[in-house]
Amino acid sequence: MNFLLNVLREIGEALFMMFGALGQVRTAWVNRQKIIAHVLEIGNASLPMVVILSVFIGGVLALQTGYALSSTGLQSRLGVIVGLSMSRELAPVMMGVLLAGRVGAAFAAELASMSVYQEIDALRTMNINPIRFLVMPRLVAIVLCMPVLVIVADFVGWFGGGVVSAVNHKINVPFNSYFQNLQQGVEVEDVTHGLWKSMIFGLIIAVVCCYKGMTTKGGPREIGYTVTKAVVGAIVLITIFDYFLTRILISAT
Amino acid sequence: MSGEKHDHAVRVQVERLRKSFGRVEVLHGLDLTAERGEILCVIGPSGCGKSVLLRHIIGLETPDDGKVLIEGLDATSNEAKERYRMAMVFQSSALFNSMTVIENVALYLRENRVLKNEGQILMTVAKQLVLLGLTGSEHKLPSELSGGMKKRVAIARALVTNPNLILYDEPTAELDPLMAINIGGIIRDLKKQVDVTTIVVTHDRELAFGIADRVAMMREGVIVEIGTPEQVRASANPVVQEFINAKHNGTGAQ
Repeated sequence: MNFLLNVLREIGEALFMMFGALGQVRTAWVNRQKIIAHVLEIGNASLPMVVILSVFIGGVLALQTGYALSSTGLQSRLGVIVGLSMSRELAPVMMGVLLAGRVGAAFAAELASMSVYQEIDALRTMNINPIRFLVMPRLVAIVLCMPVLVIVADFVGWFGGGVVSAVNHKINVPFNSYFQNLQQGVEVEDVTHGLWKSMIFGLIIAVVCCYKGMTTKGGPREIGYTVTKAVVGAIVLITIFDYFLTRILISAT
Repeated sequence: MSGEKHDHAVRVQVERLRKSFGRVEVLHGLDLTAERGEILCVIGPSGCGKSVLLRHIIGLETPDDGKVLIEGLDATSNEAKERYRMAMVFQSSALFNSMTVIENVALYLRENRVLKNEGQILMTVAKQLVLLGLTGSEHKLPSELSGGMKKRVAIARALVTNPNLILYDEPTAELDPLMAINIGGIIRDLKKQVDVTTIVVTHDRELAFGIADRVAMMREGVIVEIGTPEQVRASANPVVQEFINAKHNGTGAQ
């Protein structure tokens, strides 16, 4: 019973913090320097990983699907399969997981450390709203960065799939045919589905990781626990929300 | 205190303050008054609720019962918040590690748009840094400062808010004896230069009896003795005598 009450309390507090941060978005222009700093940090930290991850996701997708399709002679449809899988599902989800681990962990650790060492209390005593000062810039930055990274992941993933299709002798789909098929099957709407998802995933990462960080109490050991809980929580929520968002987006088309 | 005139410093009353964390009651209906412009040191053993008391005064904790009054106004009321400023120097200093000394001290002024002109902000900050002997450290990060310097930056950051009441939580914790004397001197000297009421919680007996106008002895969530340092030293209360006369005997027992 206590566990359930705690979960409900945490959800309530996290939602309260999220609406507080969304309410502070009106001060985004005044706080633009903090937002830009976070955007650059997220971009610098994530872009190389996004490229590596996406090229191999696209490649392995082409490899697995290509082998299966080649037995039925349908490998010419590989472009659209890789294209749709990447843009609608794999790019937003994998970028969500990557950013939860890379950026969300950093958010949680930094805010947990600030909480443990009384820096958040110090902000409150100076009449500085910690949600405006700490949460809002991170939330805006990650929600802005996610779609950009997903677009990069889409293109790099498609490219990775194309390379594997062309060089693998068993699949043997020329690069041009692969991209022609991809262009015919993937529409702008498919890409925007992924982008909407990615923005929601960014919101989830920011809210879960900032909430966990800001409510940390104790010492250095608790900072470690917080990071683990925040990253795992964000990934679980991304997976759950992915299903429901997919249902909503599919039914809306 | 009676002969001094205070336009800025405030009178603080803590009335029947109660606070529990889970099943443990930390404050048991505590009463305490700090007069305008005085330095009130609250002493007591670790875990007796001193820091919790400070957190209630500044509004970081909500009491289960009782209240804090600033010049007769409920400290949590908007009127009190608009009229009076409180600042706190935390035990850990609580400086922002990614900011330089000058950025830490200027943070309140910048974020609250107290002064819109950057030149005015820098002048105000520079004045506090001179007062605290921090000239030359403006562009250092907290990680480049000694414990004593961090404390001084935290005091400068508190003073820049132009507080009516300043609270110190264990200001000499983790400092060597010389630095502790230095910080005590700073708190005492600030009384002559800034019209502010000061409440210090500490278990450092030398600091308390060295700088306080009045000393309050706290134990298990209540004030057991209060008076001038001389009055508290002369107290017949065995709890007070045990605390102020405790010495190391080499065995771990006192």
